[in-house]
Amino acid sequence: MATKEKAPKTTSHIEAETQALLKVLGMALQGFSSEVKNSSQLLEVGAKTGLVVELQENMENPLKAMVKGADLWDENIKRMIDDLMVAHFVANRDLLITAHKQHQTDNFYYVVLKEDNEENRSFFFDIVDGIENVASKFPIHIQFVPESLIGKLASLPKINLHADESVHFTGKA
Amino acid sequence: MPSVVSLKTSILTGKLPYFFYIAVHCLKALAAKEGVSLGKSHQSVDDSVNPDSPTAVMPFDRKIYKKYRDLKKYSRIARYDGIIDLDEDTFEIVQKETHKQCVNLVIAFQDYIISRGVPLE
Repeated sequence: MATKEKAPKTTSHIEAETQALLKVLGMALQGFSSEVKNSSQLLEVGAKTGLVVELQENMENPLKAMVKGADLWDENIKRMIDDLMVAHFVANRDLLITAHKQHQTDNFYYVVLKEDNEENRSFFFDIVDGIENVASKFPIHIQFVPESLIGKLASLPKINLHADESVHFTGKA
Repeated sequence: MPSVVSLKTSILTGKLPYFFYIAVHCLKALAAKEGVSLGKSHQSVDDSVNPDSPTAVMPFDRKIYKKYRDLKKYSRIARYDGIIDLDEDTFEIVQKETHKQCVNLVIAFQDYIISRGVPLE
């Protein structure tokens, strides 16, 4: 089975990436610090910035704020899982005729295999297990579809199996 | 053991989870014979037989475990109510293929359990 192998990152790569992240984090904190300062000054003269409005809403209904924050995290995790799934589909495109994504936001995929057999289906379930073992709260569904029904998937967002790097996605997300 | 395999295909989607439940009962029968406790939840049963689980008390050969695991996956997707993109006829054909896979998996799994000395008939 042909799969795309990635070269492992070296220590210097990891350090360079960490430095870049720290720089971005520093810039974000600087920006946030200015926003806090401005909000405080404007509040003294009776004006409310977006940050102040959000803070006051959170004080009024902390549960709603927590749920909103958790939902945001969930969405980010689902998106990351989607990226991983797409990357696996691309890496294993030699087994696939096509792969589509459901219109809904869940991690749900329609997959048409070149050879639809127990072994190849199980191979993709292995990938699902690998991700679900880390993120068990977020189920991933694969619905295998016979090749004869490929036309029925035409209206669904199609995963670009010939993307070279990372995640490339055509159609509606 | 009731033969779910012979039920009418018009209730395919409802049938699919039963293949997994048959596998669970087979597992529990084997565990009882071996004097092993698998726990009550599906997760603890899974962990008990998963060769990669550190808490496996009755680890299966990987090939056999995957038959059980795949039945679980098919059962889950059959119970998922979010498949709204396919029309009814298309969905029925898809489920027929899934049904075929499940029949083969559950028969192979039952054969394995029988080979371990559990009389399932």
